[in-house]
Amino acid sequence: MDPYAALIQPFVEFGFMRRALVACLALSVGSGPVGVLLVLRRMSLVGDALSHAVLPGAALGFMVAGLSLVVMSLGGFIAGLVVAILSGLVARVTPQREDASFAAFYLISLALGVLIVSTHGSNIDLMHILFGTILAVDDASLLLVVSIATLTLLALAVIGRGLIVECFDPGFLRAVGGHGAVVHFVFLTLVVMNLVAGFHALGTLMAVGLMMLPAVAARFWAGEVAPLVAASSAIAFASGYAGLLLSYHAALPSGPAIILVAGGVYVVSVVAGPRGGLWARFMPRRHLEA
Amino acid sequence: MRRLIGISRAAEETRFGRAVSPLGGGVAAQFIWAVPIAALLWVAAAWAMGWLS
Repeated sequence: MDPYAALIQPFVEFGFMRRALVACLALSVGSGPVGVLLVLRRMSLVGDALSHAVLPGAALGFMVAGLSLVVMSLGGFIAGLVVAILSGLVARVTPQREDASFAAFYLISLALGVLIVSTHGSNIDLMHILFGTILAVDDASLLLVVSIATLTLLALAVIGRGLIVECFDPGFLRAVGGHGAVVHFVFLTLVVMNLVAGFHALGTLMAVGLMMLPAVAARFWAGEVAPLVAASSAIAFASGYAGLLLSYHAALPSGPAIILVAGGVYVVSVVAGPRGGLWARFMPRRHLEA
Repeated sequence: MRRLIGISRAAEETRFGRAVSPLGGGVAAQFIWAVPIAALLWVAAAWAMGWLS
């Protein structure tokens, strides 16, 4: 097979492959920076918890309006936000840490969501919501995903510096009059929005995959925030592109193929990454000689 | 705008304040990378949806 037929032709020939590719690009651009900030803020598992928290809202939207893009997205967004607010509230008014309250609320949400879909829909509907279908992304879904990526970029341009300062030195942010709580809430809103975007393509179970795997892999290649964001977005898009091709040529389900490619990049990064990777750590370079 | 992002001018003039500003400028400088990327994304979306053909 010639390289054009293998690497480019599927996207030229088929509209659904083009839309899936651009959906991956939008997810990479939006979720890349958000994932890096989650890692820097030591909130990697919060992203996972919030992705499951989207489920009952999407399920309620499904119950009310069937597989309606707008209603399911709105429901997922509200449910994710409610879980984020409740978890933050419990962490602030009780001695419990935020990660523990997130774990509790996301489990309740997940069970509630599966219960709603199971009692009001078929197994196929449940599979669609849990695992998504990136190859079935239509124009409306694509517009939603691209709009969310655009909003994320613009919001990060406004609050990015406050977020980064809060990651490394929250005391400094307070000392210079920054509003850490507001910044944190806007950031959690961005996380939920990007998870709603990811949910349409990859389902609630794997929506967080293109957010976290590239971000944690990028940590082995870059040490500063801007290169980290660039590396994370690049890894996410490359994983999306390679995963789509793998799915097309090998007739595999596209969502898991994309996430598995991102997982492969992570494993390679752990082994070969120059910043703390196993190779750099256990195979020291020779000392310079005079 | 400075109040919005929560960093005062005095803080911006410290070493740390400058370090967290990728382009070393004000808030407007942050949009220099965000707007073109967003614009490219919309062009890609238009291509995918067949609006460019």
